[in-house]
Amino acid sequence: MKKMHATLRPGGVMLDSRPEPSPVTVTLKTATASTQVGMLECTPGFANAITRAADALSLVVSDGLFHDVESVDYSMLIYIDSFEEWQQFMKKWSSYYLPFDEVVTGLIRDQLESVGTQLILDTSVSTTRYTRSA
Amino acid sequence: MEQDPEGRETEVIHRLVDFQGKDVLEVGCSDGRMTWRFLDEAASVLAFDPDEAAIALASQETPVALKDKVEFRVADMMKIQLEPAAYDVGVFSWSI
Repeated sequence: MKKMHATLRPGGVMLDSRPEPSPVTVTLKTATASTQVGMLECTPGFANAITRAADALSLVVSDGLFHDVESVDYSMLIYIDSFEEWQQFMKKWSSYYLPFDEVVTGLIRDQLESVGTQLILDTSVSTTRYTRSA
Repeated sequence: MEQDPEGRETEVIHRLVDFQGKDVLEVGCSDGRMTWRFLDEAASVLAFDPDEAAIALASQETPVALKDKVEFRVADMMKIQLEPAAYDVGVFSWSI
């Protein structure tokens, strides 16, 4: 954070956008129905990382390096069209989310083989703006 | 895979920050997913990530008309050398 402070011009802003460490709703959507298949649970490491980041950000505000904090929390959807994409997603975010068991994974694989079926992930995101103090 | 085709994140970041004409530093840009949401408005963007493959993809996907104002670089926030007081906006995209 201090490095970011140094590289910003006075009055500049820092924007932090990140997923919240809360379970992600996973829904299978076909032409005729939507079915929730489960919740992606967060890894302990992810939750700890977010806590540490939040602490670091609180510190730079209390130290006076940043001020004028405004935050927006919202839902963001991710659409997955194939089992390969699902595997890529889980691999990329393996430090964030715990995998489903074999039964659920098998269900996802079987359903995504059908044309027109999508997996929809509903993630909670928080985006916060901080203004650099002079 | 499509992430946020509804544009929720775009709407929020533009509500919080005016990118018009700004020099932007983006930390953890990955394949440019968030970079594209403000590159049009920005004056310049330095976007970096330690993932070499993601940076290669971001560079490849950069629209020709915008190539002059964005630099994608393989780098780590702890090690990168940054000019003091050089940017108007610093963005951490899913990277803290």
